Amino acid sequence: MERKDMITAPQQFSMLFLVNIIIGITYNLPMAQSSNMWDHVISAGIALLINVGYLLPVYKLYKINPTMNIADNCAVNFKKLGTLFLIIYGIYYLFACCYTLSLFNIFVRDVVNPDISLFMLTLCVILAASYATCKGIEGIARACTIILFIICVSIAFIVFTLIPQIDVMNFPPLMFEGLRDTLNGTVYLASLSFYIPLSATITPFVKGNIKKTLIASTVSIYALFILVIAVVTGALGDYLKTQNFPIYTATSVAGIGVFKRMDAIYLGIFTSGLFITVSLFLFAFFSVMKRLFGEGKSKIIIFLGDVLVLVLSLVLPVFKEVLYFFYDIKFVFIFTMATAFVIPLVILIKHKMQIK
Amino acid sequence: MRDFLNKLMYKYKSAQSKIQDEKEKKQVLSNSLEKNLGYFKKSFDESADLTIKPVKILNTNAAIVTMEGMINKETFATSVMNPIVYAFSEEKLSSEEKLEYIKSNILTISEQIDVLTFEDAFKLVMSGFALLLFDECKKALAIGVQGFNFRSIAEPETEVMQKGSKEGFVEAIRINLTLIRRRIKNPKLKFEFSSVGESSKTDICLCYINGTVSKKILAELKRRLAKIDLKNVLAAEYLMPYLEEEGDLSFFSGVGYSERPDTVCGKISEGRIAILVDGTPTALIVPYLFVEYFQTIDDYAERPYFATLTRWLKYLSFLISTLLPGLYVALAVFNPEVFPDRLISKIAYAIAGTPFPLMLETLIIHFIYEIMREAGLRLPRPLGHAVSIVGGLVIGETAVNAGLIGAPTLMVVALTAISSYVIPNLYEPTAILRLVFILIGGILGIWGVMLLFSVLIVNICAKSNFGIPFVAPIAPFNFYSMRDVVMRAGWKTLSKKTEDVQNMPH
Repeated sequence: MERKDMITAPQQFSMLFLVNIIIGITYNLPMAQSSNMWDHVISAGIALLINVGYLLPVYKLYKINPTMNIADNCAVNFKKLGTLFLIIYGIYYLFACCYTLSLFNIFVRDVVNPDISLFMLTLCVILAASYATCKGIEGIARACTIILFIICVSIAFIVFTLIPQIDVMNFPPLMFEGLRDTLNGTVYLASLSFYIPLSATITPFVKGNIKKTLIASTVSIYALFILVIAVVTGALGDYLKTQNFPIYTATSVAGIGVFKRMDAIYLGIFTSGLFITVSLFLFAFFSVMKRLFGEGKSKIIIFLGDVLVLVLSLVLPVFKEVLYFFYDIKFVFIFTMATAFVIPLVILIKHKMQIK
Repeated sequence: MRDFLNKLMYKYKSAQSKIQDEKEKKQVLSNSLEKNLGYFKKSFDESADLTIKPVKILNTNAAIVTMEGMINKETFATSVMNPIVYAFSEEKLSSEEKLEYIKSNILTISEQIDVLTFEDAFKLVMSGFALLLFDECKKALAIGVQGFNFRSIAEPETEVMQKGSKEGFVEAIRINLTLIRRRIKNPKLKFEFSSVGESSKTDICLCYINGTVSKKILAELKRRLAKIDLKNVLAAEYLMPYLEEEGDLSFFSGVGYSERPDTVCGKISEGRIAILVDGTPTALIVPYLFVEYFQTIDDYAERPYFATLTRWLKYLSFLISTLLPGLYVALAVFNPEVFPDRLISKIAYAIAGTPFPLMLETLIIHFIYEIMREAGLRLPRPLGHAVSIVGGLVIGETAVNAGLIGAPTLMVVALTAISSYVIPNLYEPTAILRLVFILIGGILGIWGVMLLFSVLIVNICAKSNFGIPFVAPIAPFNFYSMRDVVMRAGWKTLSKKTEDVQNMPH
């Protein structure tokens, strides 16, 4: 099970960081079942600790055998149960693709509302992501560092243009309306930790200090999130309570000189990040399918996966009942916890028992 | 069925004739002068430029074979014909000894090669050597009297520099070697000749510095060159696809080229390999990185501050030439709110006053521009100016005045066209890409443009050539290399450490 080192630790950092930024852009207060964004500063701190805990089994598994990803670990340590685990991971990676893409579709359709065919846009994103997946993790990782740089510049621009608009009066006391917002925010943020199951697949491709990378990416993600919450709350205040996508609202009010309403540009830049995110989850899906069905058949499965993602991400925003289940934070939280923490922990325990 | 059999028969016959040709080429020279000359005449099919001069040297029948126009007649007369015709020896020598005697005691020309096979004989004669054949001798002597007319060394028109050398490569490969050797007086600089092209047998020369070049890259290059199955190689660019990775469908080439010896020397000293091809004033350079498209020899002659500015202008020009028309179409059609208030009214007025949709209008202007560019390139210079006038005045001004095209669109296309000339080596990929960006921008707006841009980034990021990532040192990132990427540091900084291409992060 030799696996060639192909990407560096900073590239892994940039991939995990970018995935979270993109998922964070669609940060949505109704989905978090919360009305007070400012309380999510504490939620972010708690979610950070939860994520560090989530990372432990994944990291331990990597330390035991650095050449094996989660799919290999499932297959080697279990037989029938391993297949079940592989199917769960496959579904999770497809779910992550659909979740990101469908939210993006809702966002484009309901908020930005341009005269663009959503079908064409989604199809193009999936085709482009499949192309990137074919090019391999090396190409995605290198492209990711460049795209992350562009995104960070645009975030810095938004933050700096919003800072002068911050009003101290917009910050209510923390947990002013009780613990509910904070707890819901914690569950919501922890449920969005899609990057941990992803890192379980890509970590064996990485050379460098994995421990530092995983910790640094987790801390940076929540540090950035806390910064954005602080700036957005300070600049927009109560206006946020009427907004479904507060981070998008922040981009639409950020402007400098004659250049106002630059949100389209930012969203265009974030589309690049979306493309990388979907590529990475498709790559992870491909790795799992390769383990399950072998190299040849997995290509057909990938194609079927692409079609499924396309259909689901277009259909989901239309059917509200399915939508509520799909975006239910408890469901997402449990699903993420199972793939990020529970299954790696079970594999770890099984491995320890085998050694004993 | 009959066609298939005919084809099969044709293939069999051509394979047989190839085998026969190969056998004949490998044939050694005969003892008989008559037979040897007969074989020459037969092989060249009495070609008009084959010259055979029978002479008597030291009382033995001999002949000198040359190709018309390939030798320097003066050198041939004074350094070959005169001495050998009047050669004298008191000893009784065999034909082979006579040849050795002529070689050691009579001829003053240093370039003398013993020839044993017809293959070598043909190659040397066609390269401008004079072949001396003796009767009753199985060996011939090739004497270097090459001298054909070639274009004099001049500044290359495609790589004009403000400062630095005004010399450019010429078509004669040997002259190009001297242009390199004069700049790198290092005994480790090695020139390695071989030939490509089944029929043309074009001379190519690998130039590299031993100890600096990566042996792995060199071996891989030789393997790829050996696999070239072209019949004729008439230009260096023929070899480019064979030097790329197999199955590489990238927009950008991982093989660089230059007509400037100073540029090539700079690349060689960083561990790259230059490939000179006889008959082409262009050297191919491998491996070639994406950032090198933005580096010119002028950068290293300017002050670092100004060189850094011009480098950033090149990056910006690349982005403008690729993205600007697509972005303009996407934003003007789908997100006009991005434009400042006063600008948006002018753009809206222009769009409303023209008959075509903005995407189509931009595509039309681009096609007209490309047609004018092609016409300007192929026509003689005075006529080229006329095309520019017709393009600028008639198509530009009149079309805007007539309300056929909008002035902002024309300005965007003009700015794009000018920007694309800042990095001439990238013109071909950017010309294609901007058309695709216009189409995508018109259909999917800014989302589509950014998506395609991301695909482009993946496309170039996934590319490697000879094991070196094409986008190194940006991704994988190397902070130290940024001194010649993000900025152009001064020579005191650059000279502290030379970065060989094989040491790029990968």
